[in-house]
Amino acid sequence: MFEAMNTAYTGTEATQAWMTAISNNLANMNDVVPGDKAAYRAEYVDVAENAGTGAYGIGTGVSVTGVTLSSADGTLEHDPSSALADAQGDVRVPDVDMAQQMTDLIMAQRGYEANLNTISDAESAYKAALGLTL
Amino acid sequence: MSMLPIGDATTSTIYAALQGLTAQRNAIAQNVANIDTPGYTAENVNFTTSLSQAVAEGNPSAMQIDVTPSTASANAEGNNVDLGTETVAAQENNLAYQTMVEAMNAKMQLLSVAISGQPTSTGA
Repeated sequence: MFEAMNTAYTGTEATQAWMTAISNNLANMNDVVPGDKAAYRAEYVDVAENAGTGAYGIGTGVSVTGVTLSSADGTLEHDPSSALADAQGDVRVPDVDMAQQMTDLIMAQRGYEANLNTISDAESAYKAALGLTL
Repeated sequence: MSMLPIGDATTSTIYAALQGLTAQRNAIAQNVANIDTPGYTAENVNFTTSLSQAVAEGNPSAMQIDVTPSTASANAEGNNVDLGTETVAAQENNLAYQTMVEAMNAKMQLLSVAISGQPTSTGA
């Protein structure tokens, strides 16, 4: 009976995972390492619709299927003055695009709020049903 | 869906409508939860045509709930859920559901008067 709430809950879980990955990327976007080490790899959350169907043949929400990491090469920069520069004077910086991450953050927030609205709509419908004086 | 033990065509119609609206709400929840899932096609629920037909034929419980994939155009990731459409559908679903519950309450009031000669308190 509470399928709509469960489905919306899976949606909030997925968007929360997305926001966690984005904040991790933003926190680490300036991690500099020597040129011979691997750069920080940005995280991208993979989601898929849940398999199978529930009541009325309608699906049962979404779930996170894994995390894809970006390339470990990052961007090689020549910066001999850096304390972390290797023998060739190179450092690696992560290839995290801040604009892309901020756009993704807005989309994840929007998705989270939309799922919360579904939960409160379902709640008022169930409350109305409880008010049935049968 | 079977006929309710106490009831007539009106009660069965309201009950069938509540089932259809619940299915619609589930589909809206599913679409919103998958709003960013790549390759996802939105699901639409239709039951009003089937319900009118079933009522016209005198058997409201024969209503069929139709779950069809949406034909809206998809974005770059193959997802065709439109948040505006789902939000409006959710509002309409809420109002329709509350209306149906009110109608059911009114019907039960009539039954209660018929059985006991006195109306029950609504507690509203």
